[in-house]
Amino acid sequence: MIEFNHAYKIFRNGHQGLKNVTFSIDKGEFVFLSGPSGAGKTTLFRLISAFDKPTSGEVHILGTDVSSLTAQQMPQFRRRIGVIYQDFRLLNDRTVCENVAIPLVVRGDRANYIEKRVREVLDQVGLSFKINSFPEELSGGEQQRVAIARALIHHPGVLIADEPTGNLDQELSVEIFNLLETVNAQGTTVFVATHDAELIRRKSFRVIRIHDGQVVDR
Amino acid sequence: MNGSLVRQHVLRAWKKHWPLQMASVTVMTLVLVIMNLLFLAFTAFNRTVEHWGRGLEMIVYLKENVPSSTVEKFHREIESSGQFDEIHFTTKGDATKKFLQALGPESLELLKDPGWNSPIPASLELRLSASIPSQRRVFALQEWSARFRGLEYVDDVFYGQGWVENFSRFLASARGLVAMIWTLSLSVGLLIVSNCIRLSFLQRKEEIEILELVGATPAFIRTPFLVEGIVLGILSSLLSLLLSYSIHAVLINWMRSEWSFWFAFSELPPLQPWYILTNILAGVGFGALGAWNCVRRLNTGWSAAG
Repeated sequence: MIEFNHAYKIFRNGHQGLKNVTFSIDKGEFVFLSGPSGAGKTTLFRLISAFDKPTSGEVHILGTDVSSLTAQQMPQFRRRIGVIYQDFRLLNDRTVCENVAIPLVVRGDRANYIEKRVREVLDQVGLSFKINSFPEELSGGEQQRVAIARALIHHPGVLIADEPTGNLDQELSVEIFNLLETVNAQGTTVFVATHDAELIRRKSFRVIRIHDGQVVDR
Repeated sequence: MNGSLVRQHVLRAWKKHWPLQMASVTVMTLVLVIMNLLFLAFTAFNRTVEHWGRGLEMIVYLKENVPSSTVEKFHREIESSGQFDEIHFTTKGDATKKFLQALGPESLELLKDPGWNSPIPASLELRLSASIPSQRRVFALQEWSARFRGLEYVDDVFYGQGWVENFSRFLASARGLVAMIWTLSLSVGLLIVSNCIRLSFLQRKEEIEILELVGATPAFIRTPFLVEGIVLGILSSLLSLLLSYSIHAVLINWMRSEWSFWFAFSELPPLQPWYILTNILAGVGFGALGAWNCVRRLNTGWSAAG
């Protein structure tokens, strides 16, 4: 499902973002990526979501070699993964419904299917009653749930979340992780970057630890 | 991407970013107004030149003792060419009389002297047809002059060669200068408009990033921005035409009272339909090019990577 094989990422300024990273995640797993700020978590996630290419080595996601993706193949690839960011990345001038629907709209799905699916996924994240609200009218936790709904609406094979609770308090963080667990229980592979050691300790999932661009524990 | 999504995008852009949209329209309108006024000035210049060019005449001097049948044949040939509005034949006698009258009444006595042979030749005075376009008139004069000079019964041709050639050079330089200013304005305009639209679109980098994140194709991302640019262009073009018409009306009234002696400027016509169409197309082009140029740079497929 996710496979890194001796992957390196060296930036133009010579900084080594990732050094000889090798690990794999199987279908249906829930895995934490842990490490201090600047350890390379975001760089690793960029490679998974094909927002960057490894300098050397191999990165295979859902059977696709990210290095060999062409510009034309990129959109199709990204439609198979779901991405959640710490800062939610919602469009503030669009309603919850419109934000969540974006992945299906870009795919060119029919309006009635989109409407049905938006209701389903908002039910799943417990936000049906906010369907016509704008992001700015929602709390941080609610905004993150909208982002999760958007990441799930197109049934991605892999859901990656980069510090999804970084802007939320402890109670909301637990709520979001419970939601991610539910998604995982339904068969989606979930890979979450966090430096919340307490949360990792409480959950009994596999943890990949990264430090200074190197995987130190997998 | 369907039309309704594009419409929603454009309306949303106006609602959310109206100050930037207004700034883009204002800049684009100003550029187009400057170009319209330059075009009007160019039209006025052309009309002035045309007005002057209408006075261009040619005198063909004939040799001594050309038979009248040859002169008549020559006259008919010139007439059938359709290139001259006026053809006037002056006999040697009439020309001499005119010349002597100009010298003074006592000079007419010379005509009574049987031993005196007038040096004044018979001639044909020709005026070029008004239908010949101004930019062709000088060339037409030169062409006819060369042709007439080759005829055995033509002694000389005069059309104010020095003046006409200087005038021709002046015309070429003036037209070149106007074309250069117009092209320069077009380039500067395109640059300003492109940057203005870019500024407006940079505000929406986040939107492009999110669309890329969820797998939108470049066509899906770029089309609404392109349409938005075209809408900006059409709006600017219509506004610029309205402004240009108002400026034209004010200028014409002022020129009629102050510059009435200068026919071409005081009778300057408004923008012609073909120019209005060109202006709208230029607006569409400005908007589309500016938008495409900008969104192409933003929508790299890696917007969210930086």
